[in-house]
Amino acid sequence: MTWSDEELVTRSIGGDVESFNQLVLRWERPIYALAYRVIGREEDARDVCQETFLRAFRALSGFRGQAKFSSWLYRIALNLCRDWVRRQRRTPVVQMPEDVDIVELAAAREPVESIEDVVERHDLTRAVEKAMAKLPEEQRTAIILKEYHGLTFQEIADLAGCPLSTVKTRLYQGLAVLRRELGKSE
Amino acid sequence: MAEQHCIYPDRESVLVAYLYGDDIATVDRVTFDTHIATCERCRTELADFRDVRSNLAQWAAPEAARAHKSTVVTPARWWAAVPVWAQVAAAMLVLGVSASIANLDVHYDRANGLSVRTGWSKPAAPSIAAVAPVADTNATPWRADLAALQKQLREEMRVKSATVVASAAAPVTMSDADVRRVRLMLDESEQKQRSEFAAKLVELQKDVYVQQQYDIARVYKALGLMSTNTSAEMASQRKAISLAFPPK
Repeated sequence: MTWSDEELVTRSIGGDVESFNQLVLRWERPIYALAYRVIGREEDARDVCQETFLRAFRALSGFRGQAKFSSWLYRIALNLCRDWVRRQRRTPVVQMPEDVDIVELAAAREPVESIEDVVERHDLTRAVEKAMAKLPEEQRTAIILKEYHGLTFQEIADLAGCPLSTVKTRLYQGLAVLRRELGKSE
Repeated sequence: MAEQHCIYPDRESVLVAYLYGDDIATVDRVTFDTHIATCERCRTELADFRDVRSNLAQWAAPEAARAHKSTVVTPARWWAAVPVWAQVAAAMLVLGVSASIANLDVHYDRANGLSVRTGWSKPAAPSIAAVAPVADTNATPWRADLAALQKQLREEMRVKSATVVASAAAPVTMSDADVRRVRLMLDESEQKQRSEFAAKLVELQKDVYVQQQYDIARVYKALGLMSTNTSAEMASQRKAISLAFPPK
């Protein structure tokens, strides 16, 4: 039987650790992807992901269900990412080790995909990463939450603690920067 | 080229809402549909943003599971449910009992500073020992029991260690069947290692081949780019020459 997030939370609060583990398994991938795209470093993204679940576990009894569990989790993860960015005091730069990446990428390619396609895809990915790294943190976060996590404008506004109109402006400005940056790399 | 002017109200917000199909009423959508049919600036921007979105879709985060440090929590220890004050009280009790069993003697004076010693390590003092037993036995009758218990434990430990030494010294005998089984296991392990090594070698060859192909593709791409640039450069030079020296 598949439990909903909220049911699993209730069971976890009641002391059922296995239910919390199910929540971890269900949400670790999105949270890790979010952290990776915001801070751009695999190792640190893993740490943020782990810390997110530890904090969630500790604070679970305080979760009252006013928001969705996923939104609550995203909020914890984003706060941790923000702390990380401030601590580092530098623009996040996505790291892609050349030697490892291409082999892994090629190994993961579709059987019908030619080497040229792999190169093309690889170059495009790098261009997107570079362009995303140019965005201010608020715009990057808004775009990540919208594009990769499918959150609504309202959900993003709630997470960012800003008006809905601000979210739209951030998205517009972010897309405009990406349009310019990706246009340069073509 | 100068960008066309557009006075659509709240243009940027509407464009983003239209692009994502989020937070936009049907009537606003239809109105904007009509607008972009006539406004080139909005139409172009919308098309470009759609391209950006399709490019963004190519950016995949690395596999989380591959490098996942286990976040799954283990069940809490039973004492986690016990209040902190009770844990502290229990710790104090254990400490007190241990100190009394060890006959702990904490002493401080200016000359010697702080000294801590257990009753069992006290040096023998015949003059005191001659007098003290009666008083001690009366004061703490359990000490005699403890001394007896300690003696018994030491005896048991001595017996136990003697048994361990004896069993360690005894020669290990293996039956033929055991030897055969061990040999079989060793052979299997060796075979497994060989196959793993071969698989790794094949994988390495494959990686090297892929890397080669990748390098070749990049070189071709760079060469193509260079050739395009050179042609463009030559064309512009030809044009400049023909402008400077027009044919008569």
